[in-house]
This record gives sequence, structure tokens and C-alpha cells, in this order.
Amino acid sequence: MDFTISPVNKMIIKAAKDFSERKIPAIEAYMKANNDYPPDLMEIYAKNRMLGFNVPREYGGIGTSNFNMILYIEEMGKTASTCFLPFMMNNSVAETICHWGSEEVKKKFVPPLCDGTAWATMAFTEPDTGSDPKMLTTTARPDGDDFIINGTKRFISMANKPGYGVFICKDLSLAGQKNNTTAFIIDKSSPGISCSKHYELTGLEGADTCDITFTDVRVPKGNILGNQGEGFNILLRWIAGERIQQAAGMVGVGQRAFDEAKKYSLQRVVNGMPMGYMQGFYWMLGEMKVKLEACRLMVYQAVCKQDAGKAFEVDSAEVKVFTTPMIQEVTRMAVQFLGSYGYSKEYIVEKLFRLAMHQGVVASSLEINKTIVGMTALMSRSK
Amino acid sequence: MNIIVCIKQVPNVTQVKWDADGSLIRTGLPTIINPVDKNAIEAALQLKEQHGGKVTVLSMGPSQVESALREALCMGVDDVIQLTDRKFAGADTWATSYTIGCAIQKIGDYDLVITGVEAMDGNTAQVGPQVAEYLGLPLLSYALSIAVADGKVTIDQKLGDVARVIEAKLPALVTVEKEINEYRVTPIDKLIDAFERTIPVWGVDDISPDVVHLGLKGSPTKLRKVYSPKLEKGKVEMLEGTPDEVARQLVDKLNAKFLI
Amino acid sequence: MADKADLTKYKGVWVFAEQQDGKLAKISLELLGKARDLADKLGEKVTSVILGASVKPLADDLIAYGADRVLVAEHPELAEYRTELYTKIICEEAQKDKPEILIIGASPIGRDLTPRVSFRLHTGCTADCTELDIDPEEKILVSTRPAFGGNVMATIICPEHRPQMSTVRPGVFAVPAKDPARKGEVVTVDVNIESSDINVTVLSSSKSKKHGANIQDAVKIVSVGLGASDSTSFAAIQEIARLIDGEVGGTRPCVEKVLIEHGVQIGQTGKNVRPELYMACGISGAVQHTTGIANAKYVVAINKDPNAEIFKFANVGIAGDAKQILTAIVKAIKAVKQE
Repeated sequence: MDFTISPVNKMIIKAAKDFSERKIPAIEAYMKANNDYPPDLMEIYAKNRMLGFNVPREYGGIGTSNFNMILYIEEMGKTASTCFLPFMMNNSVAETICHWGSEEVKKKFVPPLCDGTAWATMAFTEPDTGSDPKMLTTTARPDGDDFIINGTKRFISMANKPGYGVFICKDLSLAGQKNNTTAFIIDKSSPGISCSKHYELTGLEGADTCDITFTDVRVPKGNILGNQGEGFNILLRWIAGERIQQAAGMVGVGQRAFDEAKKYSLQRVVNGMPMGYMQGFYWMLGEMKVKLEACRLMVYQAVCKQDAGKAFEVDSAEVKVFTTPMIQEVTRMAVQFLGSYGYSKEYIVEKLFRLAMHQGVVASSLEINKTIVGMTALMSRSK
Repeated sequence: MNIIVCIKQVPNVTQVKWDADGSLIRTGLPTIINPVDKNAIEAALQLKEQHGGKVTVLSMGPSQVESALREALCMGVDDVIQLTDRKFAGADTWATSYTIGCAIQKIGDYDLVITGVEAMDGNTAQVGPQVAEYLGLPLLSYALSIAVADGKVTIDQKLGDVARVIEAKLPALVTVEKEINEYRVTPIDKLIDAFERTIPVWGVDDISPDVVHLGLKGSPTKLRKVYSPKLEKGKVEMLEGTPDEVARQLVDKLNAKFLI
Repeated sequence: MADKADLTKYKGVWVFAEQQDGKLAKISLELLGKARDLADKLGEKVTSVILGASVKPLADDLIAYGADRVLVAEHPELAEYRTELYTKIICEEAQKDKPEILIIGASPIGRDLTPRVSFRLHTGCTADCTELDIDPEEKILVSTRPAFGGNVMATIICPEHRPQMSTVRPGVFAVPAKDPARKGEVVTVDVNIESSDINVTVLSSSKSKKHGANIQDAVKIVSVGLGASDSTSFAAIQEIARLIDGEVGGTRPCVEKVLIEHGVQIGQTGKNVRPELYMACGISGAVQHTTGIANAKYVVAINKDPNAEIFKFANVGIAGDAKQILTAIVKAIKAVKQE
């Protein structure tokens, strides 16, 4: 596979770097002060035409590849700002609705995700449900032309922001059937919806992750995404893309950790010599570099498959399994590299380290991905 | 309203490195759009958003200048024109202004020409005013804002420590300061479209100039030599102690010299 | 365009005298000193050209500072500087008088005016020079200016066109001693301005303290570099400047960060300064900056890195955290002042 960075790709990287350097500091400052995203964050993204990367222009998107999007995310990742999360969410949910939705659904719900008026959400996890659709307790009960939603979703990003979310519910009209989950597109400001306070997370500073509770929330049938019973498949396909995007962000995080370590190794002088020239340190740099490069190639390969329209769910799981411990190790090494400074909030590496920890548990756990990869290998007819 | 923006591709001189002997390493510097020229493009795009019309970006340089024009397209300008010809090479500001002036005459239909106030490599700030002279346009330099209404252009001018508001009838030429705006981050849709475009290249035959005024031969100034400045280095007295201690020592010294 | 054969017809050194509200700009006096030097090397005369609404009284000063002759162009329309009007008058006079050299200050007005004049006269102009001399053999003007973003110096000549034009950066040359006894000729220029010459209207004009506080005339400068660009350090720098009645300047990266105005940027692409006291805070001492402080009398450097280049230019150095040291200096100055 050829991962040559084309002139377009290069310009995407340049634009992303420019955005990261000139726009993210103000966003980050707001998030630090308010422990939440700036209310106009989506407008900022829309104004800079960063939403709907893989959404056709007719629905308000940009109509380019996922590859270009993950290049953008990688640059954003270098800032260690959590603001890439809503960016990924609007892009991936818009793409998901485009993939599964009827023409009517696409026309109604996709443009607001691209023009900055709506914050996307994707929700499956519940207080007692991680990855098993059979365990879902949020229910959708048919009532005339509507469904009535009841239940609670846990650790949901942007749940308390205006706009639409895709919520995977147990569809009571499919009771007794094998595939009984249905994806509903729900206006998050509907009557009967309430949200908890934000969770205080290890990393992902400023994230608005919370619980969202539905009490007799009425949703029209027209808001069903795809077919009834396809909810879990929709989730799996979405999360496969999300894992690649997350990994791309983490490659950026790892790259920044490496860059910081390298910079420090040239600045810090020990015995009259920059410490980077000591074997112990340049071996560390070498190891970090190789780990990063392997992660990057794996991410690029998976996204190329996605762009080629091939099945990429297992590849995406492999990406998670490989890159998670790698990037965590790279950021840990950067902390170690800077010594006590690395453990100090004066330097960014401790933030990168904490941020890297989220990859193992957010957007499906490392372990469930090992299951996907392992079981797939086990069941495969090919060697 | 049709606007022509003149931009320059420059080596990123902020990334200059020096070798161990203190000599400048001139090769390997990335080339960029002269930063204040991006503000010029932004100003043009904003005027277009208000008044309609078309923004055309013009740049003279070797074939690599295509990438600067591609980037201008990425920002969302309507058209770009690349001025590349071996006969243009080695031009000083006079010959450059003449060449650009000829190209603008060839484009013809314009209301406003905008340039950055100066380029970061040469810092002469001459080409904008000289193009205005060639085209016989009023010059409104050092703009901190541009407004167009009733066939007139008005700018806030930063003339050193004097702030002026000046006005002229269109067509006119405006040079902009960096403070005029914050240029946009490249919109991704325009970026994608920009790579679908072919960039027209104009040479000598396209702009019908008097060839004796072009390039090195047409340049009144000649470069005699280039050297790295030598700096005199003295002996420094380093103050030691806690911040409070060194601060007190310093203030005592300054006080003794009547510098406080 | 001047043909090669014509070159011998061009004689004398012209200096454009810049004035605002009837007050001569310091740069014009600096230029007169240099023009005198150049003219003496050529064995020619110095002519100063001054334009304005009512500027004749300034002619004596121009003579006292070195001019042999002053061309005075007065007209109510010349009260406010306007590129095209000034260009027209200077070019008309230059075409008649044929000066060999024309030097103008690289002030905002000078940098606006000179390119247009040089284009109309079809001659070369070297911008922002830091050195001017006469080649002893060829008897031509040799101008030196920073180039390549101020990283190198370039020597430029204009062998076949006249006048040889240069703009000179303020603060590079010293103001010559004033000699009120000097004698010279004052010539009144016949000014004709048609309504078609007036294309730019000045709607308002006011002194703005904010833009480009006059750093070049500052006796004391506290200067900020990236190493002291955090908000605490910068606040301390501003406070120190206030306490000692100095100006705040800084390096190019701090302009890029929009911490300070370009007008107070010091160095090869900014201003050359000659203060009595220069405090370099968090400035590493890259050559682009240090050439701008070559004429500073007493340099204090504060930098985290004890091996920073800046200490090689300093009289007194403090190696340490800029934030802590600057805060301590504020305290120490306040203590001294209150005593």
C-alpha cells in the first residue's frame, strides 16, 4: 500500500498546523477556565470548513477522504487539547448518518452537523453496559407515529450540547428478535432529557462527558437511522471509524511527546554536552521514533481501507490494540526523559501522558478490541 | 468589485540557521507566502464578501511560486496568475514593479490593487508604491483597515506615530499592515478545490513589456556584495545570588549611573 | 531615463528634509550630517529640499546642520504629507537640478515617498540603509543595508542611473553639531498644483501614542524577548519601564506574538536604537536583534541560559528565571524610589 503524502495531503497538514497554532490556544484557554468547550466551538469549526470531511457537498460537507481528516486530527493531537473530540464526533456522526440514512434523514440531519449549528453525539454505553447490546436498558417503546425513550446513557460526550445525537436503544417493537437495537436520532433539547454534571477525568481536560437520562422522551419514527434492528451494526461501524480517528489523534500526541523529548535533549546540558548525545537518551529517542512510525503506518493503512470502501472494522480494532500501549509508552518515556520536569504541569508531557491513557478505555476498551482481533483470527478460514 | 492582490514567495527567514563559523546557511529554508501578503489576501476576500466581485492573486517568481499561488487558491481567491519567465529573473524593485505593473495592465479590469506593506526577506516596502506609480494609481499605504463605498476607498493609515484617515477614488493601490486582520485558516473545501485548478503562467509574451526594463538588465540597482555582519563582543559582569539579591545589585548599579 | 552619457551632468547631494507641523524630523538632521560627509568626498554641495505649508523658517536650521542650499516648496496643499503631491514636486525639481545623490529618511513618510520618486525618475533606490559611502575610485554611492530578513548585509550600487537614491534608517547616523554661523542659499520653488494632482484626501490626522512609541529617541529601553513573553514577566517589564521612565521594546518574535507593536521592534528588521540603558529581558541575542542595539551605551541582559549570546553584548548579566528576576527588580526599584 502506498502512503505517499500528496501535495493535497501536505496542504491539509499545513492548514491543520495553522489551525492548531492560531486557533486552539484560545479554545484551550476557554476550556481551562470553564471546564467545558467554548459554546461557539462548532461555529469555529464550521467557519474554517472543517466539518463533514467525508460528507458530500450536497449535504453541506467537504467531500474529501477520511485520510485527509485523520491528517488534520493528527496535527490537532499535537496540541494535547481535548477540542479534537467534538471535531471528530461531528465529522464521524455526519458520515454515519450519510452512510445509513434515507435521503430524507440525510437532508434533515447532516447539514446542521456541518454548518456549526449542531453538536453531534453518539451514545451506546450505559451504567451497566459497556459493549454488549443484549444488556441495553434504554428502551424505545412505539406509540403511534412516535417512539417513547426511557433510560440512561453513561459517559456521553456533548450530551448536554445543542443538536442531534444518535442513541442506540433496545427497540421494544422488536422484542424476541435477535437484533433488537435501533438507532434513533434525537434532538438533545427534547422535553424529558436531563444531564448529570461532567465527570472529572484523568485526562481529556475540559471534556463535557456526562450521563444523559431520558424520561418519556418522544421521538418521531422518521428519526430512525437505518432500519430498525440495525442499531448495533451502526454503532460498530461508527466506532470502527472513531477508533482510527482517535488513534490518529494519539499519533499526534505521541509525536508531540517525542518532539518535546528531542527538544529537551538538545537544550539540557550535562557535563558540557546536550544530554541527547548520551547513548541512554538517544536510544530512548530511537525507540520512541520507531514506535510512532509503526503506529502511524498502521493508522494510515486502516484509513486507506476505509476510504477504499473495504471492510475495515477489524483493521480498526487492530489499530487500537497496537497503538494504545505504544503511544502510552512513548508519552511515558517522554515524562521519564524530562525527569521531574516531565512530571510537572509546567511542561506539556505530563498532559500528553494523561491524554494517551484515554485511548485504552474510550471509544471501546483495549480489551474488547483484543477480543475482536483474536476471535476474528480464530474464526477465519484463511491461515 | 475586482481586486488584484500581489504576493511574494519568500524564504522563511525566521528559520535561518548559522553554521559553527557563524556563517549564514542560506540553503534549505522553506518558502512561504510573505506573511503580510496573506493579510492582503484576507483583506481582499473580506471586501469581496461585502461587495461581491472577484479576487485575483498575482505573483512573480521562479516556477516554485506556483505553490504560493496554490495556497492563495486554498484561501479561497477566485483566480491566480503566475508570472514566470527567465527574462524576469534578477529584477530589483524597479524592474519587478514594472513587470507586475504590465501584468496588471493586461488583466485590465480592476478596482483595487492590494499588497502587503513589505516582504520579510527584502524589507524594502518599495514594490507596492512603485506599482502604484507605474499604473498611475493613488497610493494608500500602511492600512490598518480598508473600507470601500461610493467608488472610493478609505483607509486607517498608520503613518508612524501619526494615525490618519485617508481616502481616494477607485481604482487605487493599498498596502496593508499585519494588524489589519487575522488571515483565515485554510478552509478545507477551498483547499480541495484548489488542487483541481490549473495555474496559468504568464511570460514575457503575455504581458507585452518593453524588454529592456525586465530582470537583471532592467534593474537600476546592482548588488555588489553580501556579507554577514560582524559583532563586537565585550566583557560581561555576571551578577550572582537569589533573584532579590541580584535585583538589588542591579538597581544599585543603575542608580549609581543615574539610570533610574 | 538617464542615458549613460548624461551621468556627468548630475551634481550634488540632495537631502529630503522631513517635517511635521513645522518641526524637523530628527532623521533629517542625521541625514544632513551624512550628506555633508558624502558631498565633501565628492567635492560637491549639499542641497536640502523641504516641502510644507509654511516651512521657510526651517531653512536656517537645515543650513546650520550642513546644507549649502535649501529648496523650499510651500503651498497650503502641502501641509499634510501626500505621496503624489510630494512626488510631483520633488521629481520636477530633481529633473531640473539633476542631483547626483538623493537621500531620504527611512521613516514611514520616507518609505512611502521614495519608491514612487525613484520609479518616476527611473532610478534605483536602496532602502533602509545602515551605511553610505562614496567609492573612492568610481566616485559612486555605495549603500549598505540589511537583507534576507536582516540576516546578512548587502552592498548595493546604482551605476547607470541618477540620482543614486537611498533611504536611511533613523538612528544610524549621529546628528551633526549645529553651526548657526553657517551660510547658505535659500531658493523658493515655484509650486504649481492642479486639482488633478490631488487624488488623496486626508480626512483626519492625529498623533497616536500607541503606535510606535518613539523608541529610537528613548533614553532607556526595557526590551522583551520570547523568554520573558509570559504575562507575568511582560507585566513586570512594563512596570520597570514605567518606573524608570523608559520605553518598552522587543524582538521580532514578540511582534509576531502581537505582544508589542512593530514600531518598537528592535533589530535588523526593526529599529536601531541608541539608548543610555538597554535592558534585554529573555532575549537570547540572535544577531538579527543585537545589530539593532550596537549603539546602546549600557546593556543589562537577563536570560535563563548562562551561555546565551546576549551576555556577550552586555555590561551586566543575570542568568536566571526572567519571571522571578523581573519581579524582584520591580520590587528593588520601588524600594529605591521610595527612599
